[in-house]
Amino acid sequence: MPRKEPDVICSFAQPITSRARAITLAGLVLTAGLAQVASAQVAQRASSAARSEASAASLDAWRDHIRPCEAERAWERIGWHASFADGLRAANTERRPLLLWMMNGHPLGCT
Amino acid sequence: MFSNEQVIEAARSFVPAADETWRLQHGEDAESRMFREMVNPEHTGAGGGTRQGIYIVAPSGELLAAANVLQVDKALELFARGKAAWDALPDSRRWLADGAIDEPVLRWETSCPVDGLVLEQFSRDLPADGDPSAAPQPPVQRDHAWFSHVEARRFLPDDPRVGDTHEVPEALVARLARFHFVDAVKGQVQPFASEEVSGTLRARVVARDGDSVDLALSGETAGVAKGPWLMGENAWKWPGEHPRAMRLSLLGSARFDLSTGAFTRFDLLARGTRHGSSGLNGRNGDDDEGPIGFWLQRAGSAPADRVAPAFVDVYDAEWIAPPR
Repeated sequence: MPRKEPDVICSFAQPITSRARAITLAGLVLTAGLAQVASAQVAQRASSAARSEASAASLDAWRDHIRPCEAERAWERIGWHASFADGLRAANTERRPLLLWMMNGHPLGCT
Repeated sequence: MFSNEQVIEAARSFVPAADETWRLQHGEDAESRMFREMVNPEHTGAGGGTRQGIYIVAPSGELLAAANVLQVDKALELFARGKAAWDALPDSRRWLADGAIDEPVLRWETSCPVDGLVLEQFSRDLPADGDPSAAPQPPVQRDHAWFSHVEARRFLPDDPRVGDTHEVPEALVARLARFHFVDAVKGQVQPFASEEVSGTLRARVVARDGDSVDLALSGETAGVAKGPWLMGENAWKWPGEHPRAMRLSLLGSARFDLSTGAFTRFDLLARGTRHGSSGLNGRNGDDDEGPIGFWLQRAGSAPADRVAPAFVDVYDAEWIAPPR
């Protein structure tokens, strides 16, 4: 595969959180009273912090969006054994019949 | 269907197990033979030729009821029918014979790299306006990604120092692009061939505290299949040509423990666009470009967390032993 030079961490558009905005604003206020070089360094740090905050916020938001919600994970409460044989042994031990769910592709994985 | 509260409650009458059909339909081990003897020849309609479906079975292997159903009412009826058959079954026909399935079986799950990196992966269509606060669109799909202990260590530099940026080996990135960043949100899809993917994943060391190393992950991948099948003869080959593409940006963070050689946390977001369909993946001719997202995180330790990746039979990992 072709390689690319390292890029910035956040490679797609990120919403800026209020805290990130505050950090950016603080950086802007500080630069007014400092020497030009120092102000540039402060601005750079503030910008970096803002970017980091925004990335973390975006990551959390998309994680919560993509991961299944509680209702979508309800099937896991059933407590599945992951094979026919494990189920048979457990059913024999527990003296109960086996409920066996079979699919092309494991039902507990990607189907 | 198994997320329905009535079904969950009714399932308490049974010991629940789930498995995939192919090995049990073709294996020569005692477990596979018992399955085939159970469903053949008096097969009662679960899944047609593939034997997909729901079975109520005595521990002896005697079939009590079966159906290939997805509707709640039909599943509840099946459970009731199976329970009635169980209640009527003489004790002499109920129990597993000693030694009946004791022979060791090599399953894909036997190769699960519990000392490496086992990731739980979720994928979902994303909102067109790019707003993560929007209501998530069902369905969400699940899979697992496997990396061995040795491969997991290759996600970071040999001697990680704060500020270092490490290119994750392309073979490991390609595994994600070929077998995991695929459009299986609504149904089965084919993997990408090695020549159909490109990408990079960078791990930047952002903190180190003794043996604990914090990484920021970033990168991008692309999978572009022009149509013709390029992976030879295997179970994933499907008639016709299926042009499709997946273009993603990657962003994440992780923590690695150098003393154990293992990740203690691994979070990776892949977000971008997909287009095309596979003939099986439920897009039903919706070949237009659409937003899609993937979330990968360390898996837990429940039996369901050890289930093999969907494409394990064509995985590019020599340390995975095929079933026998």
